[in-house]
Amino acid sequence: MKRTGRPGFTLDLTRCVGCGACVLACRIENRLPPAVSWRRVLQVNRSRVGGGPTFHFSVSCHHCENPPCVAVCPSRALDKRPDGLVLLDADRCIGCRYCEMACPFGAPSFDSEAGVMTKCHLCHHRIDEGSSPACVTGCPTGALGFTHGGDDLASEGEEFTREPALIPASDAPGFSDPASAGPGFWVAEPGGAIRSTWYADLAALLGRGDGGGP
Amino acid sequence: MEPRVVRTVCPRNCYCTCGMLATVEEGRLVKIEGDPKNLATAGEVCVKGLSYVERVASRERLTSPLRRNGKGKLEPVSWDDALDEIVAGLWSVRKETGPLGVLYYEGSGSHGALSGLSDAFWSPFGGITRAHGDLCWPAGLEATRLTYGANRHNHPNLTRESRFILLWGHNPAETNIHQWRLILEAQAAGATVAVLDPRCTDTTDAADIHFQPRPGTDGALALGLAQIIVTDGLHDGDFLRDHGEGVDAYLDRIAEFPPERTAEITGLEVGALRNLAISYARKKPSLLIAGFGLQRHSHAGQAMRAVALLPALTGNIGIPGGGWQYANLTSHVFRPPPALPSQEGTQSRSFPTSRLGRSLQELSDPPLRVAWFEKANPVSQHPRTKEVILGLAGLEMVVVVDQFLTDTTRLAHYVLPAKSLFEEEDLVNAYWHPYVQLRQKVLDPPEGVKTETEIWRELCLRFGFPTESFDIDPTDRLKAMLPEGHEGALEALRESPLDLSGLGDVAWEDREFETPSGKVEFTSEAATQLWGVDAVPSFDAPPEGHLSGLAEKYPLQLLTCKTRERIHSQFGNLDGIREVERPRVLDIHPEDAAARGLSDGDVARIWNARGSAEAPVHLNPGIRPGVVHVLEGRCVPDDPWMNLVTSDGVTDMGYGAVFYECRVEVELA
Repeated sequence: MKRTGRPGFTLDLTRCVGCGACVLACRIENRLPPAVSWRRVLQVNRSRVGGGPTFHFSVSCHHCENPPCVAVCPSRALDKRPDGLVLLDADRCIGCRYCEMACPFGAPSFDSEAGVMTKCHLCHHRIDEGSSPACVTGCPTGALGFTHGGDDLASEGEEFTREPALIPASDAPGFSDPASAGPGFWVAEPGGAIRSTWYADLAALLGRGDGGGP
Repeated sequence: MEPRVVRTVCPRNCYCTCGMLATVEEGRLVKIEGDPKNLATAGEVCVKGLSYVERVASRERLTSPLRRNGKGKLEPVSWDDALDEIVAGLWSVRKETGPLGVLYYEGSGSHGALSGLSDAFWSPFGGITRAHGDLCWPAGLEATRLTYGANRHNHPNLTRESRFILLWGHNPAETNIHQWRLILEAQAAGATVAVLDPRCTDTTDAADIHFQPRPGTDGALALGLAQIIVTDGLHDGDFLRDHGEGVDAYLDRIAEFPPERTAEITGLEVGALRNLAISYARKKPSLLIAGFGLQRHSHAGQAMRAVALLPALTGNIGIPGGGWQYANLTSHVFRPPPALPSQEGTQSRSFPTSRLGRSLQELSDPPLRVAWFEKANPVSQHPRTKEVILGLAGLEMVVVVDQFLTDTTRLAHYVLPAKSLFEEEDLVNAYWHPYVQLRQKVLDPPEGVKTETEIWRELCLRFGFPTESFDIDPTDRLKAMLPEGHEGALEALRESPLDLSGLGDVAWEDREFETPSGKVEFTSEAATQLWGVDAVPSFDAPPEGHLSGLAEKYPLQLLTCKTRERIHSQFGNLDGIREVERPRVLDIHPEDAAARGLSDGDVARIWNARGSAEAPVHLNPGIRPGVVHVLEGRCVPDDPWMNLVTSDGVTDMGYGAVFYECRVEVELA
């Protein structure tokens, strides 16, 4: 696998069953306090409109090309590493939560106890050693993957032999990118008639921050 | 101190029985990962496996014996006092009315070969009252045994070679995640995936074919599909001739189920029946995987025999990618613990486990006075729970061994804190893959927790019973429990799971079936002799089915299915699970809801003559009209208490429970 390209997540929506193992694997790996979560599973079309299927959309920080969170951070706690990782320095964070407002994808998660923002750092301690983020390693169906760039979308441990192919998430209907942030997130989606029944939910769920759950 | 990684295994009542690698840092469990050396679970665990990191160190975990005080509250008590008082209670029952006044109930909460050590106490005690059968799956086990001679199936990884996969009442995307991964791989390689399920699930969402039969009509459906297969000449005549017993009587029986009649019974269209039968029979190798839900009905054994015969009818037995997949017991090879005292002269008595509630109240000569529950939470998980509660409330002493407070500990006089799976070495078998796995010890029990092995030993000491079975070195004990000639495998098990069956990856490859006739029994005289059922698989309308007298008053059929985030009443108390699990709701078709004036989010009362429970309404156009569903597995007080309405009926074979044969009415609470 190429180790030089832009890093990001891949998700095969035909394989994700919404089990939440990615959420928990992240929580354990990064020892997150209970009130903080770096990954969510959005349940799309839970009410099965028209008898259509439910989809599960595991999302976290997309380490955007032009991260709006970095642009608005007044204390420069947020920064984009040369290799593309968007990282947050808690020591510099003043807890103003501007990044939370700026992010179109609901990624930053506020640690109210520490008074600082937190977010996914793509398990840089793991990927720097050539491993995958904990959420990817913990995905039991191989739906969630990790890639080093849009040119090389074979994801760790799982070859996408099956159609549909991966496309940038920002090209998927419902996954709007109003700020032209350029999320580093690629999805394999079933396409066809199914799209219209479920993408309508997605835009609303993405920003809401509660995963559209209960 | 450097982190240690220890190979172990998840011992829950679950298909996967994942091989796990546990990382320990400074005496704390910090990470669970899948063991790649288990070739079926292939280096992954599910969300429950990950959650052990929280569970083992949970602040809610019990670390002291508890005793109910005069005000009805449980309060900490020393081990010595608790055990002395429990022994006094057991002693007086044994002396006054005999040992059968004590019920020993062991549930399926955790699997390990050492549980057999309880006999080291109960045998010299003089015997015990037990429950027989099982709440989960015994009708299907017995149906399979009668048909093929034993419960075994192909290695799961051979799923990749299937060209057609029929999931009958099965939802592996939730309940057998590793099987699901294999099914997706087969599908990507061109296999067709068909599902029979009255609900829409994550499994049906990915399927190529999905039909929603009326629950409880699977026997008729199987016989009707067979009728189409035979009428169209798609059966395997050679296989039937060479390996089928009593085929003619079976052919006569399926002739009673032409498509029109089958359609009427099952609620499926004739076209759907033909589509399914023909595609299943034509696209070989074809794998039929049946879940457990369809055998939670009164006539489940006969229905399961009919379903289990379809792979034989189509010549899909004994080939890679084909098969009848229900349960694979090829890893069930352990011998009992060594040096157990003789059971000679002991008394015994038992009742079907689903009848727990009424048995607690009604058994006489002697009546039950004391009950001991381990790995079990019957007040949540047993059907007809009100009777269970009344039964327990009438006992002189209830002892519960558990890691957490549960619905059942709320009725206990003594609660003894249980070890976690990481705190004692044990051998674990499986019922999906063929591997024996060693549950290596990873941690010491927390201060204040004793293993069950220690508890039994302490009881033996207090009664003056021999302790030979406890005095053996734990490693030698486990070696002696491995099958004869495999004692040396214990050390190898530290490095890798092992298939000790010697049966190979393809079940029945030699076509030598372990039935009385040596063939696949389409007609089984043993079925008649043992269970008094028709020797040929049959369909009889369920006593609580849609044609029964109860259907008018209770028009809806309740299903209480399983979920991926819990195993019955376990795991739902953990923050990490609660973060990702879905709400427990009443799935009801919008038409059924509208007829009752129910809207999304209303609280519904679900009731029948046995009791009532409440759950929030979730309008779900994906469920078959006339069927309602709430997830089972009550763990915390807010969870719907569905077993208040389920029935304590017993299946036609195997002494199973009939959870899914449950008619209800629903109204605004």
